[in-house]
Amino acid sequence: MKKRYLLGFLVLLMILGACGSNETTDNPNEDTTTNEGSNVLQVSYPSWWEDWFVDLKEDFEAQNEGIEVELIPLFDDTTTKQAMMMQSPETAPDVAVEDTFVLNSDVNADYLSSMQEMVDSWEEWEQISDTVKEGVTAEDGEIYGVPFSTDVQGLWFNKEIFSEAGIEDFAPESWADILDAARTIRDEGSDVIPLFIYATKATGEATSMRTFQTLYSGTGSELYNVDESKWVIDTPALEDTFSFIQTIYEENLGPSLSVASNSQVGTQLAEQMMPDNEVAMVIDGNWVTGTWRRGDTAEPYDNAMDIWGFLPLPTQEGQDPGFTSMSGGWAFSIPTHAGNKELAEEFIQMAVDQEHQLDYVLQTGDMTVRSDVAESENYLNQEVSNYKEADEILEYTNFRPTADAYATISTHIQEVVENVASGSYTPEEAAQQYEEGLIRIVGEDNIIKN
Amino acid sequence: MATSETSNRKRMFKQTILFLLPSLILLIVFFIGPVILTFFFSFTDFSLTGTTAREVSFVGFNNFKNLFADPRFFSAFSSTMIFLLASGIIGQQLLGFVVAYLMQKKNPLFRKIVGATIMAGWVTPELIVAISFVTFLHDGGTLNEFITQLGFEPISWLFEYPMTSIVIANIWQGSALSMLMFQSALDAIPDSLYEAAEIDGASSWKQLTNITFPMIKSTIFTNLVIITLSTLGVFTLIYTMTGGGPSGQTATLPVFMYEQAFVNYQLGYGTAIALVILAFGILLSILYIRLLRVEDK
Repeated sequence: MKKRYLLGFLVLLMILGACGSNETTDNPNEDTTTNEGSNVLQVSYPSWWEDWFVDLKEDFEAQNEGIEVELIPLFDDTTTKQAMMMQSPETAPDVAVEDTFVLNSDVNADYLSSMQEMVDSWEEWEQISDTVKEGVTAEDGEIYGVPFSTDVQGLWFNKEIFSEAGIEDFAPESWADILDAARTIRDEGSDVIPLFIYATKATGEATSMRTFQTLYSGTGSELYNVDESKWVIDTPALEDTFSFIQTIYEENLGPSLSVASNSQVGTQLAEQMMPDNEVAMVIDGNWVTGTWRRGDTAEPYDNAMDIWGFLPLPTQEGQDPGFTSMSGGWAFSIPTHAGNKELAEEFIQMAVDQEHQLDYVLQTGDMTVRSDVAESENYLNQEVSNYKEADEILEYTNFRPTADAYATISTHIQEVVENVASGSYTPEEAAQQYEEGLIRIVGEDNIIKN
Repeated sequence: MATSETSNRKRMFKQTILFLLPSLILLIVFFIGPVILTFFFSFTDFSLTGTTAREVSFVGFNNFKNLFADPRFFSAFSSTMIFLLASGIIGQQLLGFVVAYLMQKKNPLFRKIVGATIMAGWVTPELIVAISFVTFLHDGGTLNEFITQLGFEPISWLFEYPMTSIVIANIWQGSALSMLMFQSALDAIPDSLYEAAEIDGASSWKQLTNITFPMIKSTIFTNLVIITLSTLGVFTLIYTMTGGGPSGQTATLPVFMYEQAFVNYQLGYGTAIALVILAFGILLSILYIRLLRVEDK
């Protein structure tokens, strides 16, 4: 009998032992992540920047002998994955790439450490434009990230299609001008999509920011009041914005919903629909040129900027300041649980220096955050680029609310926009739905009604 | 004599516990633990980012109150019911039975070929099933290629018939289990019953309703429970094929839960939905078992 006990005990030990040893072998870097001053630096980033980060790794390793940079690319849902990684010292990277809309929330969650001291003693910090610094300043007034990328939204229009439709010198001054042009193109009777907008949940944040918030900012209203720290319900502004979206779909001016429901439609636009003249106008970011310059299209598209114009999007009725835009942004941050903060700071300073920033904008088509790069001939005079136009739009730009509930409210906006586009809601119902959802998410106490 | 028996039993009990211990520990750590945590978090405002990621506080039944006042919950609930009824209870159950019934006493080679074909869906990982169906039903997919060859206009299947698409995909994947269960149940019915019925002049329909169904009743209910629970939990297939869209038409409870927890970062709210799904599954299972007992009486 004793033998059996012994056997059972041994089996148990073996199983426990196996579990235990698994844990240690699964995490060969456990020691390196928690020890201050080790020689491995872990950098996590969205996978679409693979090329640039591989370059950074090589350069950083060349400058710092004995240091190894471990790249951790994140595929899809990068913000969610990164938040989960930053929760524990065992998984937190040393350098994280933050989408600036979530930066303040991540500070509130205690995921990020302040970089105020670092930027105070870093000369090059002055080179970074003040507008984008706003995006990395948390509610406590301290800096939690070093920006490295921004963009503006504008109105792309196809000069060839426009001149065929007899529209010369296109310079819209109100939403009505845009719709009129779209109607003229529709009445030409070809298969061309007159005006592309992101309008479904599948395109996620693009629907919320590039379409809804860009348009909404043109009504002169705001989604979030920073002074009172409250969300705003401005029913007329909401209804006007939803009406514009409804008109596009009711009058067959937009893409079919099955096209708009493809989560990859943004890539499809830049790589195929725009080069193939399948679309006349697009409300999208300035970075589309990056795709053309890199040659991600089927045929080289060197003459893209002869065909496509990039205009500032007018406000609803042309009211002051006449034009509007939204900007996103990305920044390097250091997680609270990072094990190697000093080395992380060095890495970030290198990545945001002049040379690597020029490299970055040349590779990606995003706008630079550094004034010296913005002035350089190399930057402004690239082939297939629209930096001059984008730079002019920058003065009209707006940023997304950085309040905690933004992510949830943004998904809510996407749902409502999709329901307007599919005809399920009238603009009035949509405004009502937005209000109800907002109350559900933040509570009546955190809302002001205009 | 009696004392030695009790001590024997005690020893047996101890031994049993000891041998079960490894699996018990694993169950507690990886199954019961998370369930308890889910229960706990569903009463909090826990989120993935923001202040409430750091300072989690109890909010009582707020999550559940919000949930039952949320129109999206009811649309998710009705989508789940449609999906469950159409693909699980009717589709998999019925198709599995019909195939098993028709294959009875057929040529063994024929049985093997048909069986293997249906099993293909069952052994294929869910994600691959989903991607296969996307490539088949997509705007430029195989099905549209085929119907345009025949001179018809292509149809955006996943957009215009999203629920039908995921129902068909789920039936395709899941019918094999039903088939296997019904096959073994049907094989267990003694031939003599059918022979006797034949002599009495009973039609095939009468034989089916008076012999086959009563004899496989417990299999029908067991199958019902298994299919219900697995269909309630289907996520990968739906999320990959339609993402819950368009306009939330295919956002079943698991998709809704995922969106709240990992897209909207409201983990507390998400776990409350998880708990509702769990309760719903338990409720349905109890209902089936009750039904089976009533039938037996």
